[in-house]
Amino acid sequence: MNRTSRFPYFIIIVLALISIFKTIFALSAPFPQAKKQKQLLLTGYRVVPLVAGPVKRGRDFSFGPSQQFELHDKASGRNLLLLIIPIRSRNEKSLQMARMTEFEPKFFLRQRHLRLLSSAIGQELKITQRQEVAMGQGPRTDHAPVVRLQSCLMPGGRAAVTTASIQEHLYHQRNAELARAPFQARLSRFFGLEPNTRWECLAIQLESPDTPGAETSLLKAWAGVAQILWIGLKPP
Amino acid sequence: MINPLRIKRFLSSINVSLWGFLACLFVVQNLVLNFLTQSNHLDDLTLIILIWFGAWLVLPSSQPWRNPHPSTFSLWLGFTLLAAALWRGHMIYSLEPASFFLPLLSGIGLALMVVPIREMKHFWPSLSLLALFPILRAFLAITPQEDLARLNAQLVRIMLLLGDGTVQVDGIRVSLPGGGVSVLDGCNGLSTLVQLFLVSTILFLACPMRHRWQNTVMLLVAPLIGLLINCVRIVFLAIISSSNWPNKTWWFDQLHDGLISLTFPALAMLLFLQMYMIWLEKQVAQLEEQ
Repeated sequence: MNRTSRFPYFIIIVLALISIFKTIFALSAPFPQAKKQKQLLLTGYRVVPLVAGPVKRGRDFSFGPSQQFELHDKASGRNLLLLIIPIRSRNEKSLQMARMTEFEPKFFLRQRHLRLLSSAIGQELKITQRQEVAMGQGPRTDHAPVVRLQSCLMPGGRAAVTTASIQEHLYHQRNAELARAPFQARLSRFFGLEPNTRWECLAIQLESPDTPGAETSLLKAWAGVAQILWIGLKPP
Repeated sequence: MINPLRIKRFLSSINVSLWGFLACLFVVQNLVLNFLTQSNHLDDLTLIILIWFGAWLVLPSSQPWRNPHPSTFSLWLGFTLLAAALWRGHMIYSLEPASFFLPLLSGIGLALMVVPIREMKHFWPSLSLLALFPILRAFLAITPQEDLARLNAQLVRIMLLLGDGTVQVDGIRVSLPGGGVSVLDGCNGLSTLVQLFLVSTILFLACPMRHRWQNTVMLLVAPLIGLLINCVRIVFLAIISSSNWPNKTWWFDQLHDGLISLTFPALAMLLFLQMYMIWLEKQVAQLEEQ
């Protein structure tokens, strides 16, 4: 082998070393594809947008721009706080709401308990989606105690909290979408020319002062919020 | 005075070292990528280690990498394939089928950087093993897990009955007086079966038996040994679960997914290798007698 033919060896060795280094030390989850909500119109509520948060890139999760809204219930006069953060994980086993607190303290939940809901999202579509939400108390602080409801909304309208539920739904959505996609699109995804599976969902949290009727008002607001937000989510 | 032979040997050693180093880098890159991106990484990692080890074991005896002589086309084609494998690896996320083809792509690229295309046939055993990874991975995904779990439960019942045990099997549930176990998807021994099959394939390519039927028998016996050893593990789990031992929870956890559980696939592998070696030695002895 002469000097000229050793040249590609040296280049590919350098590229392989860079690749190994990057995989070990610079591995990160890709950014979510979910777009920011330009405005939120919720029937029965006056919506006031609050300060938005920055994007965050991490090894296991990456977060899109977080958005906060104050929802004023016109019927009861109660003020709720809505937090929306798109999340994308590198793999399906890391995606669960309980881990969100590691990366975003606003998701902290004490005395967490799961609730299964079902709601009709869109009369035209006539879809009854299984929704799993976590409810609990906010952190102990000097301020008035708060009650929180959180879940991760996915394309198709299903919401889930646990890894098993999120994984099951995203996996089925992915397979259904792949089955519908033309052969060329599937080939493009295989070769990496188009984005492949996205382990992504929209983390949503509603917060209310811990007063009588708080849980009911959170569930009522959740039904409205989920109905609006899932439509903008693209299939994985 | 400079000895031309020494220079030639030194340059030859650089060539060998260069290709060997490159091959090692791609094996490491493959392993690291799989471990850090795939959620089922332990099972896949074992398979990848086995296929790369097997591919190395069955490399051509003529050792063409000692004197690489690729054509210009094959050299740059190999370079392109390796670069493509690195590029695609950066966009791999969990459960992407493309990740199963990266070892094969890397293997073809490495071979092309050593020999021209017309001599690629010398590498077919190694490339066959690398091509086995997506096939085995697809097999793992499509095998009906519950049927295999039921088969495990029935074999466990037979083993317990042979030991005069009172046992009832209902689907995947094995019940003994005082307790029982359910053979769930992750405990049906499928990954052990596949690993044993892979080992038998490596042996078939590296040191095959004299006759075709003997090789076929070994390919079939290997996964069977894996299945039986897994059933032995489930027998122990069922006995522990139904016992009154004070530390039974600890023993159960260790045997279920702790360190002790890892000894069973290793035991199955050792058993199969021992069988293979004994049978191979008999054939060698017969040949020498003839």
